[in-house]
Amino acid sequence: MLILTRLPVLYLGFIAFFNCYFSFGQGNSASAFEKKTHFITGIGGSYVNVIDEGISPLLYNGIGGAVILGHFQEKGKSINTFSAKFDFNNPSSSISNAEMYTYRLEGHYQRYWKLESQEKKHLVIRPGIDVSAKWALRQHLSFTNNSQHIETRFSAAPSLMIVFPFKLWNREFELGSFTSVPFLTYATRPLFASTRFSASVNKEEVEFFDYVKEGKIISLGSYFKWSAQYYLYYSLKNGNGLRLDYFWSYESYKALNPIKTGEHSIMISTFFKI
Amino acid sequence: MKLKHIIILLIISLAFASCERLFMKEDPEPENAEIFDHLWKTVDEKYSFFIDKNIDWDSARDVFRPKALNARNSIELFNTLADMLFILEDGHVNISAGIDLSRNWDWFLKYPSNFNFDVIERNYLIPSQDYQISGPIHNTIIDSVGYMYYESFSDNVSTSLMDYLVLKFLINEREGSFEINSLKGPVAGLIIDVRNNGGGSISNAFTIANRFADEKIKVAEWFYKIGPEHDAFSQAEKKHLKFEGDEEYKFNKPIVVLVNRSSYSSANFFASMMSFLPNVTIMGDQTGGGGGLPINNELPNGWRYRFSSTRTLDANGNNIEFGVKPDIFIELDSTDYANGKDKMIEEAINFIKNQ
Repeated sequence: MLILTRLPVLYLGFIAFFNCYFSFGQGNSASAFEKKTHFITGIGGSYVNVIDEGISPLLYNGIGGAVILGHFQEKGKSINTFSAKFDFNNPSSSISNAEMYTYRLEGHYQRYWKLESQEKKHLVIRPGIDVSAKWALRQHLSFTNNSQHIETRFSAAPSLMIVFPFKLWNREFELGSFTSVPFLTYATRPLFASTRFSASVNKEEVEFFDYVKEGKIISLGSYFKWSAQYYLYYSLKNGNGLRLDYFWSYESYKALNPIKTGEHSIMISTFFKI
Repeated sequence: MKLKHIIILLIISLAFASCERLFMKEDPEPENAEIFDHLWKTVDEKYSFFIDKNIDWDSARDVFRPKALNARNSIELFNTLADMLFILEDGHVNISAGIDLSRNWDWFLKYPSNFNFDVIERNYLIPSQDYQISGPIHNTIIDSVGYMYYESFSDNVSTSLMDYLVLKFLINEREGSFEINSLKGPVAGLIIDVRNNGGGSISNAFTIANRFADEKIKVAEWFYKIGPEHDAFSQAEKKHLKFEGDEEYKFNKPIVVLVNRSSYSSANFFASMMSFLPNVTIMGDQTGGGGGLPINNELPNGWRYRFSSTRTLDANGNNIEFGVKPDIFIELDSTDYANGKDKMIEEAINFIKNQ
């Protein structure tokens, strides 16, 4: 039983080690972070707080796991990152003791511009944009006809990156942070008292795109999201790298059924040079 | 903006990050007023039958809110909330706490039961050589008429199971006859008994009804609640029946659906849908109703509740929340029970054989 309960932890540890082993195992070449392209794979743990009043007024919170895949490209004047992150959590309510499963798929495109005036400084600041798409399913385990709630978001946000490269024990590190607040978001939610979407009414077979049709364009005032990411990047001599990230976001949507979420995750990622 | 300002901003950002719980508070011991107001408001905005039932929900608040605020313990609060929900006269409305489950069962308790499974089992099922329990469906052949008893739409049925049952009723090897789909065949018709079936999954209702349908036929319209106003509903979602199953074995013979006041929710909807098929007759007592799809929610103290959130009109525009009237009304009495007879089954057999 002890081994069974520790299996997820052992699995995460194995995957992390597996990723690290291969990133360390590549040939030695000079390290230079600029003008590089990397394939990102990462895994980690996550924690969510959710109050979805379409489901319940109660706060649900709980832990889970996350995986991330991405593509990182650093050019002379910009940094571009595509990433897709899948997150599963099992939050519960301490008041009702009910549980839910949450499944979240989030994609980001981030572009940061290198400013000549900044790049030679010890602390580098880069302005940018963060375009994201999110699909989330919350499944309440004690409900019947309204057990599954789906929502989607498409956001565009100005973003800011701050980077602090440093050397420690003769090795190259980089400490950094991104933060963004969307100014425009397209959101879809189920009908007011149902899990059906308006686009799927009168359709026998519900298609994926029914969940993203007939949404609302929302902005600050009815929608607020603040996300931040902090990382420590360790650059390897062979051009690969390891990154430890902490993601955090808070989201509040004042719809007919208001929703507030707080999401955290700690991820370890490998940056394979391609 | 100077660099030091940006750094200060980022430090503040770092300091406030992860502090979302400041904005996501919940009270571990909510006041009675908060619990009452949440229940009243959610039902006010999402319950679907205020207009159909002419319910004055505002006056319910005026009557029950003071009682809820004065409740001295959770039992008194629970009973007050249950009393308020009782005026919705809806079997799909419950409040559930560890101490009790509120319910309004007037939809069947006010009427004769018109059903006794013991009588059916001892006098019709067990004595029959054709008796099988196929998945959740008790079935046999009584006096050359097929009989199916389905106790709960919560028990899943499949099209292949329905194919098997139809095949059983159309080809009776014991009789040595393989004539299909003819009154000369082994069964003259079929009785589908959904008495005391309190409902369950609506998809099972469609699975069975589609097996006896033919061309696509509209049977109902659903309306979803789309806003807090009592009359805020979506456009009609049209519901259809269309044959699904083995095309070689369509059942075109007379079908009688037996119902009583305890045929509720999905069973009510099933009877309504079947009534639009040309070879179907509804017999027995009026169904109990339950035409809204119930949804669940929770109160700030963790109690769970549910209520109807949709309206259903049949293809003729009748609101099935109030039940489906039978084509032929039949009531059982104690003499029937004493004689081991189910008058509804007997009348259904006679009706089918006289077609």
